[in-house]
Amino acid sequence: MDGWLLFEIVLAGVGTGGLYALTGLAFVLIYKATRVVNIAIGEMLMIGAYVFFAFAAGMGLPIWLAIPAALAVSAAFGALVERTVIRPMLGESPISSFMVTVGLGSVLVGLVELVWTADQQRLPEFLPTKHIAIGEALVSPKIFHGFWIAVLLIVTVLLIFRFWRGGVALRATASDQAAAYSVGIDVPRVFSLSWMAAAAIAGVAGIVVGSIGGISSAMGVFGLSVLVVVIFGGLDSVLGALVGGIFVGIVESLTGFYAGTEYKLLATFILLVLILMVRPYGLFGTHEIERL
Amino acid sequence: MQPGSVTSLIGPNGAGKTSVFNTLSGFYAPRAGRIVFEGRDLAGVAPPRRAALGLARTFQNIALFRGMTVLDNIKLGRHCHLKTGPLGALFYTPAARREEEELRREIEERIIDFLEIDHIRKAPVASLAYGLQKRVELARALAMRPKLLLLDEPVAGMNREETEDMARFILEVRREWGVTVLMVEHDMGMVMDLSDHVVVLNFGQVIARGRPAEVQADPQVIRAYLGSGDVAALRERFRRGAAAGAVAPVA
Repeated sequence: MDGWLLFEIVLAGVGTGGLYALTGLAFVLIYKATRVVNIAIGEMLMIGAYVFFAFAAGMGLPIWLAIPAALAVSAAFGALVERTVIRPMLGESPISSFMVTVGLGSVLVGLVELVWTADQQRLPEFLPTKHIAIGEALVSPKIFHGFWIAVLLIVTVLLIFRFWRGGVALRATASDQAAAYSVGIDVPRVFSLSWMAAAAIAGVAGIVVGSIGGISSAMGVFGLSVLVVVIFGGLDSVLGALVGGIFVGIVESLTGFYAGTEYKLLATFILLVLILMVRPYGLFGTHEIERL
Repeated sequence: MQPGSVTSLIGPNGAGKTSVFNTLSGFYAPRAGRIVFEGRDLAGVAPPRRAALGLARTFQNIALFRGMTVLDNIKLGRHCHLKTGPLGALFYTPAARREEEELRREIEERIIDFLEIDHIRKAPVASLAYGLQKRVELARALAMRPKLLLLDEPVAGMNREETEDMARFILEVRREWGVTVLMVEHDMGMVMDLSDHVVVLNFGQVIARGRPAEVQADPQVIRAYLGSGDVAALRERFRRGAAAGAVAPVA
């Protein structure tokens, strides 16, 4: 009995962890291409959820139309942010562009509160609601399906990065910008595309997170755990984001059950302090990451 | 520059040789003057576009994509000539497959065999010896199907044997592909042996140009290199350097 309970808690953690991993992937994408530590990743996720909310609940579009529309708007939003806020910061110190994303996060929260108020809202139901049983362990259907959506998207993104030349071009840009430029890679376009892709990926995570726990102007807090995830895994490591996401998910789930929900974030940040003391560049990250 | 020729750009350190390269490949915009390539003014043309037009370069300090294999590095050279989109690559459509196979064949048969780097093509570039990394950089530039190849110090820091290999490759590249070569080099033996044409820069000004022998004899060039001193002695050292293929003294 006890074994099944533990299994159930870990499964719930893995489920949330999948979403952390997905959002972590979006973060790493931006960091790899543009070397910007994007603190606003949680707020970008929130924007995706609210745009979906506007399409599905506000305009009453069917779900199958509202999701792609929300992702397209998220991607366009990512491109806009890159072009207007991030591109002018090219060549500035890392701490400056970091601060810009801090500001961006606040602006986005303000924007959401202006348009939709600070009240919590519910997203239209679109995931199946039947409980999933694995052995004797029950898994919440939303977390179960959310996890598989995350897995599917992560695999797709990884395949594209491995096999499409645009993905290889991104890795090349991350490695050496001047050389990338000289072999004919359009570096500004890589910047743009990486922000668009990251915003769309964060949008998917936002829609799923929102449909699990509702949306509010405070849901950007999700981004704090994601930050721990990527620091745990290494800012520039895709593998690190995946492993870190699942790990942090499990830690939070265990803490939530045994110590109480209010201690979840505490556990996450204790983890952060431990990582920073032992391996400041993360589990899989490049060692020479700038100090912020 | 004559199509199909080898031109060397020489001059003392800080003369502006690499700046000329950066201007040619579009990293710097010229304050004055124009760059005309195949009858087309390159003003305002972004570096990736220039690469597609047939300008390829290597770097003085090796600029390979670390963390990738030799083969991936070379294949990236073809980036601007490929068309497959993300969906085509994801589902590996027939068009994507054809493009990939064509690319593989050309790179394997023409470039890798030619540069004798077959044994390292799956190796990560960071693990290679310096001379081999330089060779991979040349391979990547060749994969761009260049019409004009810009080589920034192709043999800097190489030993005799590696230098001779590189010199042989440069001559063969020109013969087989008909590529025009512009190189910056301090190894006077190599410059004098390979070049059809030599241009000497000092403080951003062209102080001499012509066939290698003419440039070698130009008193202004000798002064630029040495500042002042015994012209006859330096000339003698140049000549011996050219004969032995050794590095000539650089002030």
